[in-house]
Amino acid sequence: MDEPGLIRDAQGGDLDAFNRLVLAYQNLAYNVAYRIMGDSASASDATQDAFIAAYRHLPAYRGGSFKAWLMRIVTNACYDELRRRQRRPATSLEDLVSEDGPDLESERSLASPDDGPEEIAQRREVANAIQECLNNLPEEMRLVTVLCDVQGFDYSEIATSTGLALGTVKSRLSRARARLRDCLQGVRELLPAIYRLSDEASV
Amino acid sequence: MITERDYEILSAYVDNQLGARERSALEARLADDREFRLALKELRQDRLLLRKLPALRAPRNFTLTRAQAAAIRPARRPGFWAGLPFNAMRLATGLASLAFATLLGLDLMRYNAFVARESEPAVLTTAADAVANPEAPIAGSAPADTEAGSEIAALNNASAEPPGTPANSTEMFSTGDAGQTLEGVQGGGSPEVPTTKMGEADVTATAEAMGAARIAETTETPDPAALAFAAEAMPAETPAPAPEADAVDLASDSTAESEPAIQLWTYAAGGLALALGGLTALVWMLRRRATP
Repeated sequence: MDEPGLIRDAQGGDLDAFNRLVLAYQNLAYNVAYRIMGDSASASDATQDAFIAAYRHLPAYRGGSFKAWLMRIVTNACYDELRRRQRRPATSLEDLVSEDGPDLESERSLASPDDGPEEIAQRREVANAIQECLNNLPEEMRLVTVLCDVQGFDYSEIATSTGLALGTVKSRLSRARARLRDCLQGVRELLPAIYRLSDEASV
Repeated sequence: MITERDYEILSAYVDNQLGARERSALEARLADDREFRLALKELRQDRLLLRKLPALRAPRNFTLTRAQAAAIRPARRPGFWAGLPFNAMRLATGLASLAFATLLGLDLMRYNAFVARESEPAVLTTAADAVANPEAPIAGSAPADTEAGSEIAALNNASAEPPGTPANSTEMFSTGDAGQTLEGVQGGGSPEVPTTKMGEADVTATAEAMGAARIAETTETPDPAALAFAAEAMPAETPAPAPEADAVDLASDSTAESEPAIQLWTYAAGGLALALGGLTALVWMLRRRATP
């Protein structure tokens, strides 16, 4: 994919070029939104809002990492959605369903399709427990944790995506990890072998 | 015990974000400290857990339709003319801020002029009071000229000699009580004090007079000779501060003369700030009306 070319064309008003960029980044954008929002409906709304905002502001994009620029829009859309939710707290039917179990529609993992039902159930249980721990983090800590530990962004990408200084990213991430450590104590009991560290990293 | 700072270093270490020196220092500590190793293991474990979270597939495509795209007004890069109202508002705001700062500065100047005018006559009064009443100490008086001080002290001692003066009174002078008072008057230090105008001879005469007055006051039975001497010497010194007072008056007159100019600038700056504020508000309202 010729990303700079697509960006240039999209800036010139080529909708197809923009939509190709959307297709390239929508999984990443949705994943980030899902980990921040904690449910698929809100994540979908935030992702859609983010792409609309990206289309609107594309003429103002002045180069640099397009991924980081887009993730900044996604995180802003998530914050807007979270604020909207705080102003009008409501429980959707979808949330009520997901209380009993995982969000089946959105949890179509890209992981191996060869997993048996038991392994899938186990993965889902661990994933839900981790998501619960993420949801318990304050918003600003959750954001850096999702970008770094879930999506694998490096510190400078996180700084660009969030508009934070590198030092702030570092300290927020450290505090978030300390909180997660306490929360994940219980989750460790559930861990199957695939999550355990190899011997080289053990004490 | 792992502190928050230690944990931050460990966290950066896991992400390979430490410099060579910090890294080697941490690795040395890791080799010695089991608690550190355990914390590092947990950090890595948790990071792995988060990394292994299933990547989700977007539940639908988020591509935009032609209708959606047409409804979205792209935020164009503002050209010079398109951005003119905004730039005008920025300029007006900047100028208004400048005018406000000028206004503040002018107000401060006026305040300083006012304070100077109010305080200087007060200093003069204090100095004059001190001459009239040598017992009253003057606050903040500078140390007296030592030569003049010693002369005064000698005079005090000499004046205290007349027979019939109680011993304690003489002692009080010799320990410098009157000297201090006179020093206060002299060291009142300031240009308003007649020291510089009067010259040494005058200072000596004033000191004599004050010493005599002091003796007369402190002696239980006032010495008529001392009182007469003081009465004779004092009137000659009292008009001395007058020229100084005139000079201060002149100075305050010149400040007062500059005030109308300051006032004019104040009004001009205030008017400019108001006009620019009004212009900004007008442009903002027009822009708002124009925006659908």
